[in-house]
Amino acid sequence: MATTHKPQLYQQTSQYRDWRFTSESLAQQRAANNKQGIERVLQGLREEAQVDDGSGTSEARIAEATKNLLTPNEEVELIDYYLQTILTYTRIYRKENLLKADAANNVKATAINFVKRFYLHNVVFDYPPKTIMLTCFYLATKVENSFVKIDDFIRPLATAEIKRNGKALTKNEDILDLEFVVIQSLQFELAVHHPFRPAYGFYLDMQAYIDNKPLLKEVYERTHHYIDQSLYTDLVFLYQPSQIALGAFKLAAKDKDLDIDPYLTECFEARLLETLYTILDDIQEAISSHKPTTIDKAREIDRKLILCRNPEKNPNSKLYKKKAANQEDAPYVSDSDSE
Amino acid sequence: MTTPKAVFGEDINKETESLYKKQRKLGEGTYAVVYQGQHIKTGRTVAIKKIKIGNMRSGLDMSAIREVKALQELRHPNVIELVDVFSHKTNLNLVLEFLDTDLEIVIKDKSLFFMPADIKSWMMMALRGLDHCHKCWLLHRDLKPNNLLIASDGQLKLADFGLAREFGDVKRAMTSQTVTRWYRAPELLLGASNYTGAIDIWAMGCIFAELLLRTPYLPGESDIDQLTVIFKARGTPTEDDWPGMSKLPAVFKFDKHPRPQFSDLFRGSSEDAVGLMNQMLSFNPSSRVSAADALNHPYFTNLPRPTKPAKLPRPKKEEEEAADIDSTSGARKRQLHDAFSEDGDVFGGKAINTADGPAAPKRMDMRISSPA
Repeated sequence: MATTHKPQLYQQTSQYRDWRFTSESLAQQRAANNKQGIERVLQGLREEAQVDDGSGTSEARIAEATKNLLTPNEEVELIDYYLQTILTYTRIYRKENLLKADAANNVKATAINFVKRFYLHNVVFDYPPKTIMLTCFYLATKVENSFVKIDDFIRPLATAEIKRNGKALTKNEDILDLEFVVIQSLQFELAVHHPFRPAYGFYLDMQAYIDNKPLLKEVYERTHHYIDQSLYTDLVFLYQPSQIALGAFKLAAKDKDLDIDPYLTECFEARLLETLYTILDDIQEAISSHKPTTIDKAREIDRKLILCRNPEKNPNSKLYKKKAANQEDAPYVSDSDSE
Repeated sequence: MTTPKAVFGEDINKETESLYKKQRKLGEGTYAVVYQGQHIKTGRTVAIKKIKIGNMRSGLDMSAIREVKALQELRHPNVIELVDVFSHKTNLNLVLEFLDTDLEIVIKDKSLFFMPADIKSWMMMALRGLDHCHKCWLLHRDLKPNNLLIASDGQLKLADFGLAREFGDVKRAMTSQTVTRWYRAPELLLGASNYTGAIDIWAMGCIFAELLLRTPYLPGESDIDQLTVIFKARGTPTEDDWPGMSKLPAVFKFDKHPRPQFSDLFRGSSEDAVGLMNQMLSFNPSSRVSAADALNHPYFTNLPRPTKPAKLPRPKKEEEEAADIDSTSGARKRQLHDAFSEDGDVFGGKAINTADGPAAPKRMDMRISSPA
């Protein structure tokens, strides 16, 4: 293929511009967020102690929080658990016919991506993933042209909650109040490119090189399974959607005993192929080795999180309520509009 | 490499907000208020489009989402630049490059005289911007002279992406209730739910004609009337002209209008110009020319060469205008996109209110026009 100097269209996307990392830079970012997040938790607890009229409990409270602080890895594990629940919700909304079949896949993938992006600019101490996940899901329905009215969006959640707990818990504002912090954290960049479309492109392309069409079709269908798996990994921050699609294709081809290398050797120069194979190996490894967080593990982390929430961001905390009340007392200041 | 610092979403937002100040109101619609503003450090003049979200029952509304989503992905000299975005309480603020006029104002300003090379230049810039959108798989869905803004250096830019969405997935239905009526393609008027970039090309064809005629080419008074106006101007299409037409949802028995001689109406225009315009206004969407092919049409390669953007005719500066009409308010107000009310159901495919309202019988002019 001839090399052109015009930038590829993908290079003009916000995904390429602002959401590309290396494994190292990702780990560093998460560690830095975690570290500063913890400082904010401790600071918040100290402030709350003052609201608490300085009774002796604050030291014990801070000590308890300190013992239960989450590591960057625990944050990731907890987030991963709630990413999986997105799949459950997708099924519910499908069943309720609030999501159309052809849209459900993209809504799900975008919701997952939004949660992952959100936590590159936030910590679970401030915003636990359980509600953030729902807000991301709701925003994803809008972004993927599958808008659901908020009342319709809440209804299946309420039904499930009544079944489980006897009463509905999630309210409209629980989701909507977080919409702005979510969109801010996404840096107002909403277009997400998934591997589904490039996978379809490869499938069409391969038909010219691979004779066994029924088997190729089976492989292509299996590819979706691996693409779904890839959504939970960090691959989206490391590689381009087309590379992830091809990695998923290789895994699927292996399952079905189809050799797609003739296609690759035909389409890429040997020099490029070497680099590509390294990338594809890495992608296959990441998809195969991803282990979803178990519910027990998630419960354990959630229990710790209750003790190390940042009270400043927790609507149920005394500090939050006091600050909110103070804001209401303050004279209304219109925003910076020069009317 | 330095160790990264934590970057929290809310902090990024606060920092962005602190970079700009709003200076004066430029215009207002029910959906948004536009201010002239400034980047405090660099002094760059910007437009700040404040989208009111506060009273929306379902939170951030779809047109705001569509506009932000589209503009973040488009970087092209002929597409309005989204410089920054921030939110303040429940308002979304789009910081856009400041563009001081638009093609509708230019067309209506009868003190301006257009040379064929001027029209070619505007069409070229508009098609380049549109070609870029289509290459990025985005439909604009609301092209009209009012949404083609013009910078102080004469560059024309596509703006107002509140109806934009991606296309290319044939399985997914889209609403046919889009595009301001006079620029709406026949397949939309006939209820097509699968359409392509050809709908934007039709609108561009109407704009082309409007530049040549200095008046809207196909001003229908209602959706039904719009088809009649089109058929009278272009002849009623037959199944031969447009295979598949009769299968569209809203097809009824049309009056048969003969195909008129275009050369009568467009007497002053070159064969090239009318030829390209006809390709853009082809009834059959699949034979309508694409933006990329339109740019390769002889119209653009033959003489006269398109006018350099800086040399294009433009309305008198506001200050002069204000002095002329002796008005205390020199601010020219651009009409804004009125929001679809939330119950207007942008999403389910019922009705969309476009800028002029769903029925737009007449174009409201909020501007202070220059004396004709």
